[in-house]
Amino acid sequence: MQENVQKEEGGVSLLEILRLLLSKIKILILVVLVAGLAGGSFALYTSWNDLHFGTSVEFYVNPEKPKATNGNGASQFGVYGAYGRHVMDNMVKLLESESFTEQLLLDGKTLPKLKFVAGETTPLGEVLGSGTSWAWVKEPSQVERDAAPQDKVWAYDELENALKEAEIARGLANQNVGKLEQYTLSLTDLTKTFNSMSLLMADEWLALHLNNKLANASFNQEEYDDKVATLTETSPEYNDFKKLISLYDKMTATEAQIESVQADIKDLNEVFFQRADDLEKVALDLWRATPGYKSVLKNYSKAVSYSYLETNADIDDANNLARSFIYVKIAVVGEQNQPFAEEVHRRVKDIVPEFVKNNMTVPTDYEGTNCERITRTDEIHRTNPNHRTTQVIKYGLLFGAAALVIAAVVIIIVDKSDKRLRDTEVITKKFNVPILGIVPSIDELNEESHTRKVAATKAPKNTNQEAK
Amino acid sequence: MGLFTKLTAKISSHAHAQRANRASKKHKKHSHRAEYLLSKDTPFDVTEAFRNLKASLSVSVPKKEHGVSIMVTSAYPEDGKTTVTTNLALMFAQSDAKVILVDADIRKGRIAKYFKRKSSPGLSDCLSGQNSLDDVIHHSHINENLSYITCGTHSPRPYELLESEEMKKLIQELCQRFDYVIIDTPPVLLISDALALAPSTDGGVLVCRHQVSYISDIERAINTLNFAKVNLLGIVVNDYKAPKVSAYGGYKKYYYYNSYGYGYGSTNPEDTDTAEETPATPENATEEQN
Repeated sequence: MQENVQKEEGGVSLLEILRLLLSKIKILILVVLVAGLAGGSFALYTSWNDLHFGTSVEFYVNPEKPKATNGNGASQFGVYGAYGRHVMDNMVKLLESESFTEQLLLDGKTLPKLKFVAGETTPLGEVLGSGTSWAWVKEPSQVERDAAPQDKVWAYDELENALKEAEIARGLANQNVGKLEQYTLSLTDLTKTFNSMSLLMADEWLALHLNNKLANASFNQEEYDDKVATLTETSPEYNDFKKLISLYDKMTATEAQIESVQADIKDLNEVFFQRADDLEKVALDLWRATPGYKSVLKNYSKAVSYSYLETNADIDDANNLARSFIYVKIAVVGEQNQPFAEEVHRRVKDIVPEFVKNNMTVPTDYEGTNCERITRTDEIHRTNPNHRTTQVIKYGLLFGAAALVIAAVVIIIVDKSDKRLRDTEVITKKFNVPILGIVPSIDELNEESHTRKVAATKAPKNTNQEAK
Repeated sequence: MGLFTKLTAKISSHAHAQRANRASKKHKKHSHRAEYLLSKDTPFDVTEAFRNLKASLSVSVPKKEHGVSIMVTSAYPEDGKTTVTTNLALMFAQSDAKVILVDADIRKGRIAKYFKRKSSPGLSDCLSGQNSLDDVIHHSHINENLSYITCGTHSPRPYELLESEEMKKLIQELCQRFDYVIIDTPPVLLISDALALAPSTDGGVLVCRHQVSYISDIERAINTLNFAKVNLLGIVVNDYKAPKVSAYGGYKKYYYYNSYGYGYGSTNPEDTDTAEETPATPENATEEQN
């Protein structure tokens, strides 16, 4: 009677797993290659536009003191010491603040010259298109206008109106300024002509008195009138005098016009210019309230970063050019933003020194701050030239490794799930039944035989050819 | 590890159930399968494997005064049972033993196709009394030592026929006349016909297919045969495919014949000059006998 079949639990041996994976090495290699290719393609696709542009600008800052000191050793260059860490910390915080970022956005002007432009703009394009101090605000479409809350629509409309009024006010002011210039030029010409004629006039007394009259200097009217009465048409000074009087009248009229325009301009200054400034302040506040403002400000903040380096310095060492450094790093992503980076770069170079000078906390016995740019080759350039290559390699390896692990796990699971007869020794071990015989696969052997026959039929031809 | 075991068991049982389902469906339909008989074109490894099988069986089967009856079965169809049975009988016949091959798969016997003959009259006709034993015994043209009985006319009661006294007497009669009675039976896990022959035979052989038969099926088949008190002589692994990398170790010993194949009568045309003998294929054996 046969013994009952005994069941045994199979284990997972590391050696078995390694052998299994080795037997499927072609599959694993293929999977790794395909996954690596996929990873590389993915990396190339995602990093194609991931181009970084930027540069670094260095400024050195140090307190200044006039050469005439109280004897505490002045350096020949007039610089003393270096700023302490807490001062530099505060300065960097000021530079990173929203108010300074807005100054960058406004290109250092206190008030923006705003222009309302219809059409689509990107947040960066709101500044890109300027190149100057203009800020562009996106006009809402009718659909956006209809969908927006009423106060938001009001804000846009108010902004538009404020900007238009400011333009008109400035236009009027500029017209009067133009007129003033014109009158002033005219008066200048008349004066020149008058002076020339005065010098040529025979009666010097009359010329002098006319000049005095023109200049509102001391003047004897009776004596003048008596002199004028003596002149007749036959008098030799009569024609010159008449011409001079004509010029005098014109000059007087022009002066009156000038006074009038100046009065107008004064009124304009008081009314329209102030009105323009007020309106522009309103426009600025409204502009700050628009969604585009925040995003543009954010773009500037993201594009620029600040840090400092404080060197150790002996404050009383006259020959030590002790100084601190402020580093400004500009970085943008995307080739389309390279012009933006260049614009930011220009503004940083223009605005930062003045800002630092005006805002640095100066010790009491120092006069002021010196801030100077020391980098001279700092054009905007590509900062990650090998980015695509590194990303392709990185993602290719990552995908390949992940695919390898997943494939290995799947292979192991599939293999362990395969409970078919693969190891004939299982029969003897598990069932205690002898194996009477193992019949090999006829199809497999026939295939191998066929392959050998084909190779054998080709070989004699080759050897015969070689023999020849 | 517990989760891993559960996962692999789940996948395995699903695949196993699908195979069992396919097997039961195929057994109902007529499936077109090739009949393979050993010939001079048979690869040496295969011929030698059957020769070894014959030798193993000769040793393991109990010695008796009269002939020996061996039933050959499998767990499920398409394990190569009929091919192994037929070629085993052929191998026995080559060693000058008188062999009769009986197709006891009355439902779907295929031995008639191997010999290019109609299946009736055959075993079922003899058992039902319609034909005598001599009417159903046919002599093979391949080897004169080999005779065979086909399955016969389809019967609605195959199990009863195989379990009957007539079958027992038939086997006894055949054992008197022949040295070996090799009986091809239906798959044991699909139908119970094979179990009806258990008391009448001297031993049983279970055929399984490499990388097709499930360990659990083999286990169940062995348990079923043991329960039916079949004298299980051993297992034949059919359609064995050597692994490319020896992941499970030790299989080369079953294939060392490859290195001997060219030295001991290979069919490879390159080695015909160095061969000492040609493999004993049925055609050669017939020619020699003639």
